Amino acid sequence: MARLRRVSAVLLIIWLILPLIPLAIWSFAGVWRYPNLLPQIWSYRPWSFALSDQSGVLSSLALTAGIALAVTLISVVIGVPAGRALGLYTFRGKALVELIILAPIIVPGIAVALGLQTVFIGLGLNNTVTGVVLVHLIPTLPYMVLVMAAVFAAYDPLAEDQARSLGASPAQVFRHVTLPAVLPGIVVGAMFTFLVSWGQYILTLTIGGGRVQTLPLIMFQFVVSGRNDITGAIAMIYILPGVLILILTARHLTGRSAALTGFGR
Amino acid sequence: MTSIQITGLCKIYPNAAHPALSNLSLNIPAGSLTALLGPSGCGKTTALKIIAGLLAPTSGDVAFNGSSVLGQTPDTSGAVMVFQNPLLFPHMTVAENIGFGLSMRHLPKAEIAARVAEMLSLIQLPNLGPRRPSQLSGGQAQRVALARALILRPRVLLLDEPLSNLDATLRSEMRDLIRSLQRSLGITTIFVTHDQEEAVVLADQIALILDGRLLQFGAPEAFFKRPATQTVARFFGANNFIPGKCQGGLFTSALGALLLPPAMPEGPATLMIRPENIQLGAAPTNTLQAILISRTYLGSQTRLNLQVGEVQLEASVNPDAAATLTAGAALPINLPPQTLWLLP
Repeated sequence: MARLRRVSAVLLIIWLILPLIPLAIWSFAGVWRYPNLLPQIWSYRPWSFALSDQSGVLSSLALTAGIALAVTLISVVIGVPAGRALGLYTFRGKALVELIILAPIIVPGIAVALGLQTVFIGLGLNNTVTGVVLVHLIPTLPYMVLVMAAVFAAYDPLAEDQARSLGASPAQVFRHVTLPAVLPGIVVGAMFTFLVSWGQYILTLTIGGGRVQTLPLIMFQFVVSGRNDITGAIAMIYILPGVLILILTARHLTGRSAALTGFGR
Repeated sequence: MTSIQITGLCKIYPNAAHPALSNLSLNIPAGSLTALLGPSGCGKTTALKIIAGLLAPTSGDVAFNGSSVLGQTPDTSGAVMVFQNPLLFPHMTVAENIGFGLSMRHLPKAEIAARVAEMLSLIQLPNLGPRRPSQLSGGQAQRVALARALILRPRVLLLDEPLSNLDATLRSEMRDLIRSLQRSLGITTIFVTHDQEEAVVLADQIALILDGRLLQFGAPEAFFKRPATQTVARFFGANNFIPGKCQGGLFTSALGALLLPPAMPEGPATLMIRPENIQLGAAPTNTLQAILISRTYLGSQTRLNLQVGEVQLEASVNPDAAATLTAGAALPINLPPQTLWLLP
């Protein structure tokens, strides 16, 4: 078991870290011409440009994080009760509701976005941060609802009745029984949501109309103009949340953990 | 000690075709152990949840020692319910589970620890406090769930199918534990079961509920000897019912005239003969000539299918007494008058 885990850790590192190495080297390249294996001249200029006000990377970082956090918060607020309803209860039209929730994953995002664009123009939501947050909910909410539905499917709501009967107030039941059972699921779903929002390009571009400059949009401008060095520096910043989340959760994702289950019956 | 008065309790769930509970009235003496008996879906768990304060009735009242507890939360009414599944909280240790109710009431940590230790020894699991619920066997989890309720020193203890998740040996252990704890602590206890034998062995009195209605309430013996209706009698294993008429202490039917116990109501009625009350051999009264149709050996008893004139009877007799009987044999049987009972 321990050996298997060590092997999988090594594989994970190869999988995730190796593809990033060229970009990391680029971010310190002054001059790097073909066919040299390494830059002829090393430089910190890509980094100093990326971190300067001129590039707009830092303000974009704050904007991207703000949008991702808002999307995550709304997903949790909608996804937890929706997941509870789908996981715990059977009701008329449940299959239809599930289909509607899954539909955004099935339909290509760009098709939806182009259709939504005309609607959003009418509502004055085009080119606004609010519009971008709303459109990010399309690909994220299904994941959140699905994760929470799975968590609640393994959760016995009688545990709440039991706690009430033992004298806990409704607030105490939530704090001491419901929340500990579903929190790992909420955390997993929230991280998913944050990363999916963080990685959106097409939807942000379509609805944000180029006015809402999130990090991938800025980075893509430098990709298109062939500035591999600056792209490399921004990419290093861009992957930070993913790496942080991976480090924080590696233990939970590989170890024996209740991260994806509620109360076992 | 706390007595329980239930009057006219009704529960109608929205969109349900039938009421889950209709007009249930029970007077439960203080310190007694009462079984709510009935098949699953008969409304007994609904009744338990209402008494526990977890569910509001559509109408009717529940009172402890004469004062209504409707609208009270479980921590003020003093009723604690233990569910069919142990429902231990998986993120807490066994000790934390048992102390849950006390820590919700913000008792000092030292007092909680002392009472948890006391409970752990009471349920004979003194060393399992630091364990996680996932490390317990089914029987241990059930006992921890019981301790988690008892630690609150409830006025009324409500148990939903406390034995149904256990195998046969654990079941009798748990049964003895419940009985002895209930006796020694003097807690008025109501438990729900679908198992007739469990109710008879454990309870001081049984309330038989069918389709949300109370059919009979009384001591276990009464359900065998003096059932109120044919349905009750059948539920408790009676199987011979003969229509006829009672007149002057004699019951006239297809079996002829049979002597009844004293003070039976006159008029048309149905005679109940329990299978174990049919005796082999002749007696001064109520002797009949029967023909043996078939014989089934059941280990502790032997079941006989008998033909008496037009009537078929089923008897349950000592296997040794029936060992030599063969199908088709004519044999005298007798029905002791004091074992006969009339149903409407």
